[in-house]
Amino acid sequence: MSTFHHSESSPQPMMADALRAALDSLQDPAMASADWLAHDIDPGYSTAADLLSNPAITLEQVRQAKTVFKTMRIVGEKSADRRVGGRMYAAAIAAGMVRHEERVSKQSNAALRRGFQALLDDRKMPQSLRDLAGMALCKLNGQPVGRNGASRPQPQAPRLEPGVPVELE
Amino acid sequence: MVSSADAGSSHTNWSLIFDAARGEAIPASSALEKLARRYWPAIYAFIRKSGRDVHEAADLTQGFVCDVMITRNIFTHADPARGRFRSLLLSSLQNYLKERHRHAARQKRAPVTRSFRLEDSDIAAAEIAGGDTPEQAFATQWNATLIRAVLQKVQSDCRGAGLEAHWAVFEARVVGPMLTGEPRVSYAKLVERLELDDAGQAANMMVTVKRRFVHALVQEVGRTVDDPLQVEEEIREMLRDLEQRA
Repeated sequence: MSTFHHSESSPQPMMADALRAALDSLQDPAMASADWLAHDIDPGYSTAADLLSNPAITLEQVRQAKTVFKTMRIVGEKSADRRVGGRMYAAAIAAGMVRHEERVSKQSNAALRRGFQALLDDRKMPQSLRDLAGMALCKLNGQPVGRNGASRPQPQAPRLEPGVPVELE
Repeated sequence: MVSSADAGSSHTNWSLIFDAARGEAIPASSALEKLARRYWPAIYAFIRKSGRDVHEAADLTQGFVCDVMITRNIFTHADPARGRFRSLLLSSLQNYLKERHRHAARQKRAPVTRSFRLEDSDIAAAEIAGGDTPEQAFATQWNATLIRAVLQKVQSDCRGAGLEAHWAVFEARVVGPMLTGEPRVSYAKLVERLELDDAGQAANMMVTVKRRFVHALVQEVGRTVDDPLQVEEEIREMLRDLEQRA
């Protein structure tokens, strides 16, 4: 095997990446695998959450992420891998809807709602992706997404009861 | 799941060290030669970065291996309770260079044994960029040696497990750029070349091998520490050493 490339570019960053990959995997192997897939799509991102929650994600990156995480949810070695793959798959679809108004999946609305809700409810997932899922649910339900991108529940109109005065805001 | 506990037995290198120290079971020269052949690039890198030219660095490297590692047998002091072989080696080297500097005129060197001699090609391969200080050069070369060994093992394991296509993807996307700086081969090309289903399959094949790589790296580091629970800290320390700037 040849020696490390050592022109003007130091091999240290690449060796450091290898060591960081080991550390990440020691902490959470499934999430580390997802992060490697995201990093592989765009080396500018070290985590899947950073890539998928980034408002500047391109539609091409969304499609790539959808493809790789769709496969991960099926072929992942352990159940944790397949679970994380499923969540990231949902996040990629959510990113397509929220950032590009594009539906990159042929799944039904009901299936998408289940996927987004599962991501939203999964406390083991990064908050940024859970927020993304919330936004996608709003989109799917025809609800407005908040100005800052955060999902906001649709205010409910007051119920009118006979004889009861209605408090107006 | 890869975890510190998966570092496996830390005995492989330590047993080698103690066998070398006792001169028992395995002939001392054989055991020590194995250790010297594994770690000499890091020793050489440290000495080179301390300001010595190629020839002097090669001479001192051979001297350290023969005087300290073999003749004086520093590994009699390799107490497992002290944990980490890497730090033991580095501190011994630092002391050796100070000693050589103080007694340069009087220092007698043990004759270079035939079992350990640096060839010009060995030295050229050990000239590696990176590192502002001797300690950082040592860390860079130590990591390079470690990663190279792990890659060779993973490649061999993949071949043995019928995962040649997996290795091909990993090599094209990770190893090639790491070793030669070449650009990553596109997944479209890999799908065509290896007759895969799609980029998703190819990407996940890359992850499969990367996991094996990480697992092997953790095991390899585990052989240089006493307690598997030290593996994570050892890797963090290696990373800190690598990222330190003078």
